[in-house]
Amino acid sequence: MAFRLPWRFLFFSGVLFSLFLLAFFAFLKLTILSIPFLLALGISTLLEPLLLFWESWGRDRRIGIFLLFLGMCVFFLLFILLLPGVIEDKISLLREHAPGFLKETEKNFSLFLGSLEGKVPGLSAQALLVKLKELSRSLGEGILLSLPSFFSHLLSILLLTPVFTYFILRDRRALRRTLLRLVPNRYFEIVFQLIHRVEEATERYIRGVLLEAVLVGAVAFGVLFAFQVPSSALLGVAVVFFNLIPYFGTLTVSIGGTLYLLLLGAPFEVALLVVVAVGVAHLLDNTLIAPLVLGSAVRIHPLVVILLLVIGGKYLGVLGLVVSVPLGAIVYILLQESWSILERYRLGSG
Amino acid sequence: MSRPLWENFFRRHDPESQILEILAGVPLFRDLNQRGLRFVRELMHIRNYREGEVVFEEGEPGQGMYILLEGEVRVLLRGNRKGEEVEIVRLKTGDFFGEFSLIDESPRSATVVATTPSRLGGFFRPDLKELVERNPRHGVKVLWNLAQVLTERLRRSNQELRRLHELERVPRP
Repeated sequence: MAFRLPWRFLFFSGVLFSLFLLAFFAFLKLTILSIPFLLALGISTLLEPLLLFWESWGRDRRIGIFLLFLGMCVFFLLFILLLPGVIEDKISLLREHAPGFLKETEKNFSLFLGSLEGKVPGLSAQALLVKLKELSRSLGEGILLSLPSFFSHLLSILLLTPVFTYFILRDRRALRRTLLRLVPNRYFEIVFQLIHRVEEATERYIRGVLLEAVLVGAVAFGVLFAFQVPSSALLGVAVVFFNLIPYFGTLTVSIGGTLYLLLLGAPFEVALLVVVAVGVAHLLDNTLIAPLVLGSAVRIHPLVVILLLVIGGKYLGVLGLVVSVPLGAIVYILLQESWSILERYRLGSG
Repeated sequence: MSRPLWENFFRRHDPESQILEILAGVPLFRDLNQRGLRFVRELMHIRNYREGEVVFEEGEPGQGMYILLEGEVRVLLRGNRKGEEVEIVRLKTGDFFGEFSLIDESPRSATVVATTPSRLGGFFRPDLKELVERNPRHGVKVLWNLAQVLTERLRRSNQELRRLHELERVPRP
């Protein structure tokens, strides 16, 4: 009885997987649900080792989940209590310095355009300036108009994420077992192994990427703090989040951070330190942090990463930029593991 | 000692306690208390096989062991050069097989086929790892028992080899 490649099974699995991918893609488009779900997946992956540690003492998992949620609630409450003070402080600083900075920038820009007027044929500095002003006004209005929907979205994320996290932590194993029950006996061991390996590799990858982002943020914060740059903690947190978007994230946080400090009234050389801090963190990330943290976790070719980012960004916007690379990595892990398992089955059975 | 009739009556209607009873008789789960056995049961994958259905084939990478909860299976070996299979043993309720695969992914040493409609409990390497991680006290006991079972198998193989060696040395008439 030699083991033959189960073509029929592979075909149906392929069709099912493709349908699942399509459904998942449609789900991602429904950002009001998909963002909290993906956040919950990430959070539960991070919390799982803590729960395993808790269980290894012979304690009940449900109590562990309850305590974790209690801890998070306390943290969140402290955050909410401290946040208004910090925001108020920053808003008053912005109110004080931003108009002056914007006026100065406008003046410098019009001077720059005026110097170009004679050199570039057909360029009218005044007309260009008016158009730019209109553009910035409409942009500002657009932001103001989208604020209510943004906050309602944020509120739904804040409410749904803990609910999803709770159910993922509680029912993940049961869900896996239910799925496995549907697999025919003949392919049970293959599918079991595949699910297990993909889950392990994916968890390792997600934990690695998140830990890498936190460490890079910590390095950036360290550099900014050492030079006593204002808002260094806030900028460090921004580096953590933007590090989740490969390449473009670093660029965005460098430019955004510098502009933010300039609007707060910081001198240009101080604001430029954001670029230095992000650069140092990025350098350390490439040479030390990523090899140490990601280790054997999956690595995707930079070209594929850019392609994934472009596709993700085009179809899913900002969410696509954040999730396209991890999702691509998961599909890559799945294909890699499927191939390796099938190869072993073929070699083993001869 | 015979058990009262009512005890058997209730047990027959409670498949879960029947499974726990079978698990308690498996040498690998010896010394586990009810809580430990329930934990193992929670991790186990129950599968139903039809008569003649293959559980696994010789040469396939193994993921773990199976415990026969109900029914009967036969263990087959590729016997001769023609590839014909030879039955080496029939296993019944309470027996277990494939425990070598709990240690590594070495190829299955035999083919197992259900001879009657059977119910098997699969306990695989990731399940053992999960048991050790989530419940180290019981996990260590199972690992210790596994080591004992494998040592016993090794001892028997050595004895068999010695017997064969001695048979070869005896001059044929």
